[in-house]
Amino acid sequence: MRTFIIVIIGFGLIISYSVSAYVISSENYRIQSDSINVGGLDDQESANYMLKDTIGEDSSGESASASYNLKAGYRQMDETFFSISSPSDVTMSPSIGGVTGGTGNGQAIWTVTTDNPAGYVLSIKASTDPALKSGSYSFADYTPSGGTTPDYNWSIISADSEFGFTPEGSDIVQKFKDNSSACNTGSNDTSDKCWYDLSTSDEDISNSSSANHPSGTATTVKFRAQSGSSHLQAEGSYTATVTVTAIAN
Amino acid sequence: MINFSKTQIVLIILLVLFIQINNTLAVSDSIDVIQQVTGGCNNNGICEPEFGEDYENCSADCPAPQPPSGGGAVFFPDTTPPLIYDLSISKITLDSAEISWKTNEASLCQFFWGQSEEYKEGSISETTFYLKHLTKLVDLLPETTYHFKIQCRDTSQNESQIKDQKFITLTLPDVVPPANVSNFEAIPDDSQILLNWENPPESDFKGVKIIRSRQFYPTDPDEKFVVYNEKGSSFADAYLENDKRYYYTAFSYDQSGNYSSGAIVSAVPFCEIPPEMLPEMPPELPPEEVPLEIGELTIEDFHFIQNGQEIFLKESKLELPKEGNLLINIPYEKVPEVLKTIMVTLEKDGKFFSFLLRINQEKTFYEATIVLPEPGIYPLTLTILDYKNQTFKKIYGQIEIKGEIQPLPEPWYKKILSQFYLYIFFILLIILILILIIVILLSKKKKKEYGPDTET
Repeated sequence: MRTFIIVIIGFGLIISYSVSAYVISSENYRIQSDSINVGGLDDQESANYMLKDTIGEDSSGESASASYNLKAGYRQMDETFFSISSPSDVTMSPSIGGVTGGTGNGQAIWTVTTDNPAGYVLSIKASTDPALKSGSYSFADYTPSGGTTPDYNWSIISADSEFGFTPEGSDIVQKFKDNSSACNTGSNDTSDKCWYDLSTSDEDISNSSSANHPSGTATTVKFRAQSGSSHLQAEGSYTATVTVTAIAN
Repeated sequence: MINFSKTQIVLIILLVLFIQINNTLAVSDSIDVIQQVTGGCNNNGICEPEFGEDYENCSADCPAPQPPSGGGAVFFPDTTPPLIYDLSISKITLDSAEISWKTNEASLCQFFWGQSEEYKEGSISETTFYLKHLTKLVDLLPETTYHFKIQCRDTSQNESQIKDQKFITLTLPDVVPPANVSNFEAIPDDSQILLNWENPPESDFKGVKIIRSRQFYPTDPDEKFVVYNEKGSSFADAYLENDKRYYYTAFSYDQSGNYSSGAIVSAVPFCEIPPEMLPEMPPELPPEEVPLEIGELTIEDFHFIQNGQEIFLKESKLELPKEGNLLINIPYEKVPEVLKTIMVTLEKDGKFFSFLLRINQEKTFYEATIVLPEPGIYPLTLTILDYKNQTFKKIYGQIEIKGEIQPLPEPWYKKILSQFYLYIFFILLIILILILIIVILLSKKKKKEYGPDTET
């Protein structure tokens, strides 16, 4: 029995001292880190607190040099850096003539940074339906002609006013990629193409399956509002509150 | 040496091998996206403050504030609707038209149109008050009646309208040629050839132009030697040289000047003793070199179209109903430029009826339209000739025309025989009646002569 335990512990040591970004993997899963210790639990909780602990680990603790900080120990490995930038509000330009019609454009750039080896997914949603409103007046959410496939070219009928968006960046999801003539096909990220509507549900716009720390990856979201030449849009300041959420994969 | 309990051993194994870090991290950010919409004046006669209209920037829509009551000039409201006049419909094309009209005061008009008096196809609204009005309708259908009405409103909201107006868009030019004449045959005689045919059924059929040649079948209706150009169904071409072959092509044409591809026939006039009949099919001299494209042609390369529907071959056999002409064509690119003639020949009651396939106006197909004969099975031959009129290739097939087969007309001798038997029957009947009368009369006479004696 003891021989068996030693074999298992030895096997575990070999795994734990591996220099890879993960210590063991299968086709679908990776174990990022492990350690040799004598005990601990992950599911201790009361009404207000949760506790995860490990005991009996050797050489744990914090140390630092001029250039590096080291947090050694199993629990300290369980800290993933995850951040998203916070751009300013966007004022689309130019102003649209309520009688003559016109098109306003604007954009915001969100940079997601993470050292999570499984990457992240970034989604977007609006707080209202329709998204762009001014009191009781609004622009309709953009209507892609292909239903759930974005329109390669922005197009609305002259008797309507609509508001939509398109994401651009190296991590955008397949739905917003194009083959220079249609969306949700090909691998291009052609500028100002693949327009879609904002809804109150999260719509994935970027996805990555690897860490991008420390530079992060920027996703540019372009917004467009248009009032057709035969549509009358009441004057006012129209606002869409847009929320993006990055979740670790 | 540390001693582990069994529970500790299990825990160690689980921790070493199966612990998986579970990250459920999320970060969010919200921004406001703002679009300014400015006001303006849409000159629609309605004061709309929500679009930024007021008397200052949109006096056409928003009236001046009323002076306070109890003083100032007397206000007389306008209650007279605008007068619509000088309505004009112009520049009517296949798919567009222009409509103009005037109003006696500045008015804002709406134009409604459609293919019925419900005017459902669409509407156009003016955005400014005008005295002269003009609108252009586009994307209309050719040869279609469009109804329209006009509603106009002045700045005091008085309305007037005219309705039940209409126009018809132009008709597409007829570029479809009529079918070829059918049953085109040549009967040779001494120094002449009698030509018979049946004209196509098209309603716009205008006539038949028959062109003669000594070399080969004429392929162009503008060639010389027109021997006939009317709308009859027979013609005797006289003063010909005996023992020489004459080639004829009959081009039917319609009111728009479209010519069919041509029905062809040839014959040799003779003097008393007819020469050995030369074959009507083109000579089958082997050409020096058959182009690869022609050598590879099969009947599958030809299209057979009836009433707009392609009829597909079944083992080189075409089955189709009697109703509707048959269009036979082959794509232009399938045959090389050296090609001169493609002929289609139907065999019927031992006779051959041939037609040329001619390049269409768009240069996309060689084609011929033929009127189908009565229901039955007809061998079909597609012959491809080179520029020397030598046969490159012959492709064989069969056409089966479905439908009720018409009974053959009763031969003349049968009619006479049936009438003869009828006469005999009546004569015998009359003789029988006469014999009966004679017998009755004789028996009565006998009774008179021997009657009293017999009684005594």
